[in-house]
Amino acid sequence: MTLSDLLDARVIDGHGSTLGDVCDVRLVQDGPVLAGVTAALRVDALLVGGSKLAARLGYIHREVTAPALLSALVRHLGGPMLLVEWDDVAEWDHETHTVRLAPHARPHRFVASP
Amino acid sequence: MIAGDGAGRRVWADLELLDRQLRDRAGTLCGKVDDVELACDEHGRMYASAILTGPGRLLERLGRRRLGGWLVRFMSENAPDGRDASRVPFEYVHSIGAVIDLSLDADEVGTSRTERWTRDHVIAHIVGNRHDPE
Repeated sequence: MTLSDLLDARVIDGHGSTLGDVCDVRLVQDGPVLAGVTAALRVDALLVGGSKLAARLGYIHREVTAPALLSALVRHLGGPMLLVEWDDVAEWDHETHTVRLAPHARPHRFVASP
Repeated sequence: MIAGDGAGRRVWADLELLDRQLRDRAGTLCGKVDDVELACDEHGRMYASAILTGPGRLLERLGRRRLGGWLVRFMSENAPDGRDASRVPFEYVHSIGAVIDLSLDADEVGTSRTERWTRDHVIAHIVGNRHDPE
């Protein structure tokens, strides 16, 4: 399994509706301890929907905010982005490149901290 | 050891890991992050277990899985130690920033193995290979 298998995978909610494609993956350094010295980066959440290009340029994560007009435009054109906790993922099918969420999953709108 | 903000640090994989420059412990640039290997621990938690680097891994990421897989196997089988140097376990990642610092030497990373193999097995057999073009 690789990160590229997960990126761009189609995300389907517990009722069969398509939410969008995986745009980015959030990792948190609280995974299993590696070689007895450091915690691994655990897969914590998926960023779903929006513009992949805008995300790659840093506009979605608010790492880049200038020029303000371009920043507002690319975020608006990309549409809303959802944050899906990895615990809400019921199934990840590598063959069909699909991530299915559990029925109880409650994706919420992603708002990056400025 | 991953230095930085410590336990609980958050990293956006596509934005902050993929395609970042790798640098060895001597400061030599030694390739890019072409992909990241994921694994599951005993509790079913998924985590990033290794950085994947080198032309074979990049081909796999770009959808050329058979060719990329063959290249990775070929380079591993022809390596002196038989090790897959295109896989850098995360315990060798020292810090993640604009550049990803490794606690390895550049020779231990697989990025330039194709280049070195071509130099030793192809270029070295060409007449006149030992001097610069005039």
